[in-house]
Amino acid sequence: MKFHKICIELIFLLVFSSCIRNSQERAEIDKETGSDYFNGLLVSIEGGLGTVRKMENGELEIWFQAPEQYITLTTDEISDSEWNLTVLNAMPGSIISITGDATAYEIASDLPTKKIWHLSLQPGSTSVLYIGPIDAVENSSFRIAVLSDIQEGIINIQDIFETINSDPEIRFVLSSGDLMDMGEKSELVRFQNELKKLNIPWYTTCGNHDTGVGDPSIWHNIFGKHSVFFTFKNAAFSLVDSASASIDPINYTLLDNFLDENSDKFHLFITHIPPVDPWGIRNGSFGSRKEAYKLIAKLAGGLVNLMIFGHIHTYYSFSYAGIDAHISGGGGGWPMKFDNIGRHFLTIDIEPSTEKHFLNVVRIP
Amino acid sequence: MFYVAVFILFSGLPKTEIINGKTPETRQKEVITHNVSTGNLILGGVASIIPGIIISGGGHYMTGDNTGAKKLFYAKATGLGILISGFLPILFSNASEKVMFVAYPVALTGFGLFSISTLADLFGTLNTGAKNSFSNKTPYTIQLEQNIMHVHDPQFNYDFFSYSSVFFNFRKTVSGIEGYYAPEDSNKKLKLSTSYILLGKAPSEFRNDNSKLEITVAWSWHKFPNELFSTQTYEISCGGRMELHHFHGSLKGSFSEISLGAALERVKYDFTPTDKDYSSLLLFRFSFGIYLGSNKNGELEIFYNHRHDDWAAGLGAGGMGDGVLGHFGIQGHYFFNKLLGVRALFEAGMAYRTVLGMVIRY
Repeated sequence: MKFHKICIELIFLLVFSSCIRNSQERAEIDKETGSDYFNGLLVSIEGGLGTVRKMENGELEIWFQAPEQYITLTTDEISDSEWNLTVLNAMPGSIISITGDATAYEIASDLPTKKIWHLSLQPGSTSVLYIGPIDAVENSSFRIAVLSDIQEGIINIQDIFETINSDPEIRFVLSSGDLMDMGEKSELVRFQNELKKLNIPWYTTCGNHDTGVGDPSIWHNIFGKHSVFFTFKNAAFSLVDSASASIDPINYTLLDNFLDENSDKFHLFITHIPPVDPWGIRNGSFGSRKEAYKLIAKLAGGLVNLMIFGHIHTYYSFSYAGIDAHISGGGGGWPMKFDNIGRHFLTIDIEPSTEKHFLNVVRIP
Repeated sequence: MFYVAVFILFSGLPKTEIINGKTPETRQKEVITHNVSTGNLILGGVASIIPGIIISGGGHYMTGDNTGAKKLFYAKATGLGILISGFLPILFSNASEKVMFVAYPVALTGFGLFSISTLADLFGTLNTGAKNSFSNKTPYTIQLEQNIMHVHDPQFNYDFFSYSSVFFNFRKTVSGIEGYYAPEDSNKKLKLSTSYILLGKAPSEFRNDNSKLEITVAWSWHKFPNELFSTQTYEISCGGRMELHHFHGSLKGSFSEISLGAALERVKYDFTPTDKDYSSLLLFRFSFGIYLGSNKNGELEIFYNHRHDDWAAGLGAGGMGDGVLGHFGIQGHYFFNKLLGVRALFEAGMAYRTVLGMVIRY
């Protein structure tokens, strides 16, 4: 690159970069998720798919953002050796498997999604814990639910949770976000408390209402990453932060890598804001149509099977580049009028072996 | 069509302007010869912004132009009323498509009128009227442009473009070809457009007034070779320019543009060439501008463009409303003589576009 071009680019970057990458801060803070250190114990969660919420006085508490986790525990010579590991948002029936010198026994918990193990660690050693459901690597079909755009509908979210709980086939819930109305910490804490009534884990990315106050540490400290990529039963799931009506280039790089690694799997992509509004005049979508088409082209090239979005408080079924796409914003946030849709969630049966899916809209009266 | 009604309404204002036997020009002379102190001028400039952003006319009031103050106040109130009347159905229905197709253009038109009146108050307050022209009178049939364009968009690798255009005028029709090419990225765009002037004079005619109402149809093709897709856009819009001395004498030397339309986009993805997606797009643009120079040499224009498919795209305003609005910008041109001029543009949305170039009119 020539000198004059570098100068001009630098000027633009200095003056404007903070304005045109509104999700950059969230993408940067995501890199810090998944590791912590206290009193001689280093915890490192593979892929940053969990966030350490508490680590003190023999108590280690981790919120899971994916069904399966590999956690590396490294101790030094003076570290505490006895820890109670509490896993929140775990798959019911998750087991623990240990590579290394550590030993563990399970302690009963009061919630299906809460697992507690007492760990005995050897000083100066490294152990790797696998925590996940016993059928996580099987190629069999399974069912998930999708629920987004709850916002002020939090006041009667429990009837949706009860409906989800009544279907034992549903393994976990995916959400494209807008769990809160204004993005205040108190709202997210309230949502966390409501989640205790849900019998299965909740994996989510953030929506524009979740990031409203502009402090990414609120989400980061409670839920961890804003963008999450994981696999389950030979199916791939990309939950990508588009709360700023755009996806940050950092997350595009992560998405590119994940698409490359999982091109032979069933792949579900979920993000809050639809790249292109099916009713384009309204433009309840990305701020840039060009970026929207860039994303869809990537997903088509990565052989994604299904796209799910929220943000628009109704239900639409359509396709982008031949890929099955759905907008579902039925969590109870200010519903769209004149559409006869109302509150709802989706159930999706996924067959990883055939890369097929079957989607159903469940309406809540 | 709503806009057309607004345009015609304000275009008709001069007919109602003759009060006590005085034309707008006569009254403007009275205004500009009115002995306005520097202090009042400064206070007027401040008042046109605060509280002028909400209530217009304060600037004119401070300089003693009560008629202008009233007109701008009513224009602002009308804009606010239109904005609210469009916004409330959107809010109530939570953006149902059954109301959006009417409510959104109405809300944006109100937003435009609401914004323009503030800028007009500021301009009219500070305008001495001594050197401002009211139009570029030089007729021309062909306009050629060669520009260098820089786009800073974190989502794309392109940066510098060669941007050329040529526009021909035949009777009431203006047709143009615009081409963009990024040498390093091979991103390329071609746009063909034709405008028919329904009201007002064509560029090739001698003009005392640049006010016009026109209808435009356009087709564009945009190829993104690295991102593996291309778009074709078919669009139609209706809009125009009004020289604002029609509205009030103190605004002589300023103009406003507003246009409204819709587009249909067809997207073709290289990975799935048989699948083509179609999407609609609301087109809306408004601006406030001033003529530059004592000899009608150029103009400077601040604008809002609702296009989300253009280089700058929507506005990354931060908070919950990212991407809802379009982009803002400033552009201008200046002619050194009847033939040769320069132009510049800067616009900011989720990307930044800068254009610098030369213009030849013949």
